[in-house]
Amino acid sequence: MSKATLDPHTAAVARPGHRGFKIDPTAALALPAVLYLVAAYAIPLAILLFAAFRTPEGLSLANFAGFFADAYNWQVTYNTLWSAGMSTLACLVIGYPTAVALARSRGVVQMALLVSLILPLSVGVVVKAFAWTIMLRTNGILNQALLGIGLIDAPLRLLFTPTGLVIGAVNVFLPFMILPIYSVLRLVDARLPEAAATLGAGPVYRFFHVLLPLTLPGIIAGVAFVFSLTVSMYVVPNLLMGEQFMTLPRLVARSYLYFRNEALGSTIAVILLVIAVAVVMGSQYLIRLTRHET
Amino acid sequence: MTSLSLVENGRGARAPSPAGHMPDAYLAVERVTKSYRGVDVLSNLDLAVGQGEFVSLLGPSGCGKTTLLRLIAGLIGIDGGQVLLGGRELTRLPAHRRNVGVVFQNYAPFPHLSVFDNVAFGLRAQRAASETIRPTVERFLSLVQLSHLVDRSAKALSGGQQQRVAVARALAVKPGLLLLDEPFSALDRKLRESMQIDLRMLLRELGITAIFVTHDQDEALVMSDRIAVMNAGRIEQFADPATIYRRPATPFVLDFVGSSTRFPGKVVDAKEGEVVVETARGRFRAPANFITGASVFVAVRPENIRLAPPGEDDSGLELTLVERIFLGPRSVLQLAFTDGERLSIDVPARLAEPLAIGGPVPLAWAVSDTLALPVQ
Ligand SMILES: Nc1ncnc2c1ncn2[C@@H]1O[C@H](COP(=O)(O)OP(=O)(O)O)[C@@H](O)[C@H]1O
Ligand SMILES: [Mg+2]
Repeated sequence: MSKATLDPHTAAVARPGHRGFKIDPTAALALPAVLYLVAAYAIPLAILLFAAFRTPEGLSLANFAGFFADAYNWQVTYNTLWSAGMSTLACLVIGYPTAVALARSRGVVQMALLVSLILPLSVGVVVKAFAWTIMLRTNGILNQALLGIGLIDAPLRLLFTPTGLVIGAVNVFLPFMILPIYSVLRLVDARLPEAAATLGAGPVYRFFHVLLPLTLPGIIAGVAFVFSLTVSMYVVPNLLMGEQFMTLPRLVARSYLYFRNEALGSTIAVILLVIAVAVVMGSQYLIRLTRHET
Repeated sequence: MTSLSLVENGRGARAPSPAGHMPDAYLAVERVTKSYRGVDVLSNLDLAVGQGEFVSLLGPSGCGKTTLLRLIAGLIGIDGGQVLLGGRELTRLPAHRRNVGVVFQNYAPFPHLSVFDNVAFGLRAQRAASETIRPTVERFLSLVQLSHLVDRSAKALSGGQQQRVAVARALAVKPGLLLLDEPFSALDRKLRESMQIDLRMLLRELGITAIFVTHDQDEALVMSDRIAVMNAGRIEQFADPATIYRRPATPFVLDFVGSSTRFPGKVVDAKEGEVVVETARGRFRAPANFITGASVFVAVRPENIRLAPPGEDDSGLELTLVERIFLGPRSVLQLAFTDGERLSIDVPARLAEPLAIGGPVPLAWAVSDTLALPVQ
């Protein structure tokens, strides 16, 4: 330090007060996005939070206490977490092998798989959900196909059942599970499973002790992605489920549109927000944990 | 095979030819063929390795060394032929049932596991009794001198340490055969040389049969019991290092291992065990069996050339000294034929000093050191 102060230029730079005030000019490139996010998210969010905590006696948690005092709301919360959990699980079970196939394929096959994965994202959720109401009907295509190949004797009731809901949700959200797992799988050194095989590890052992631990960050990311999307899904349960299967997002819409109860709507919206933030932060923490352990 | 003709020298009792069928071989690779998109990478390849032997596969990049190793390990399918280990046919077994260990080129310890868990991996996968795992892992870690890093994460190690983990990991399961694919090529020279010696001693101590792939002739000469020189998917010669160097069977082996001076020519006289070859640089005798009229190369290793007029059982040349390059212990002499073509040899510096630039330089070498190889 004594050496630096001999030079007036470095001395000035080294003065503590000057630290942290330098703004990278390239940061200005993010300005339009920042302005947009402030207008479209930050301000409405502030209004929402205010509405959720506002009570006649001032800001308090009274709205939340009121919400959780009602057993029906517990049922709704359970329905929401259950359908999100089951959809996420189904996406994981179906998505993981697909991601492996995608990572192992080459050339045209890989291109075709990727396109068939990404292209359906351009079809709106409403269209997909509506299509599933037709597919899942008692005399719908799915039942006719199952009857036709003799897998079932009588048509299954699928529409307005949790099974139907999960089927529809998987269709909409599967790519969000496959893509993060695929991107991690691609980076796994192909020689690691080979080394495991030459050490006497069979396919099952290799999967659980090499591939799975190495792709854990992708699994966590995919699960967090799909769970936060399915916990807040509105259109799919709205079209595929009856009135008796209420979920939090549907209740939000109902509160605003039918009950005109802004306090209830914003309270539930904040609860959903807390769940989503918890999932994202929890997943980040877990991913970091897997990195530190290795 | 004409390449067999060089054996009659009283020196090598072992056939230096490409390995034929050897019924008592521990590892037998028989007529193995592998092709990619219709192009043969390996064609009808035979290789027989004895138990406890350390064999190097030496050849230029792309000649099929890695393909052969992966095929023996069961990591790729075979198109034709068979592989036997200790009499057991491996060809249709998956990699995890072959008991063939592999150490890859650019290390591949499991990055999510500690050093201990890396070495224990195979033991656990094969359901070894749990009380045997710790002592076994500790034994092999001490054999590769990594005991002090047992709890370290494998990916936090240097390249040399990672490769030691890979060796310990492969040895811990007591493989019937260990395959090493240029395991030290990414290490710096000093580390590589010490690891070569360590590995050689370790494998000898454990009695492990090993095939070691390299494109580095020095590495092959230093480490091997026998060397299989590969070229374009075939084995050109399979013999002990001294035979490979002194009695190369083909011009490819001659060029790939060591340097030499050589002249093309035709056999003009052939009797039992010796030929006379007519070249543009004169007539040379060589111990070999060829028929009169055969096209051959006559070659001499530079260290067999003396600065002297030829004696009784010698061949010789007289050239003009063009340049003398002093390299400390040795000097390189640039010599010219009468037609201007150059030849350079290196000799002990003391011997080069009295020679005058522009003056004649007599060269001589023993007929017994002369090589005659078929032109391919
Ligand atoms: N998976 C593959 N697909 C197509 N060609 C391959 C494949 N693997 C190896 N080859 C070709 O086989 C030849 C031998 O390769 P390799 O066994 O890796 O050689 P080496 O290990 O001696 O350098 C090369 O020409 C290479 O291009
Ligand atoms: Mg190779």
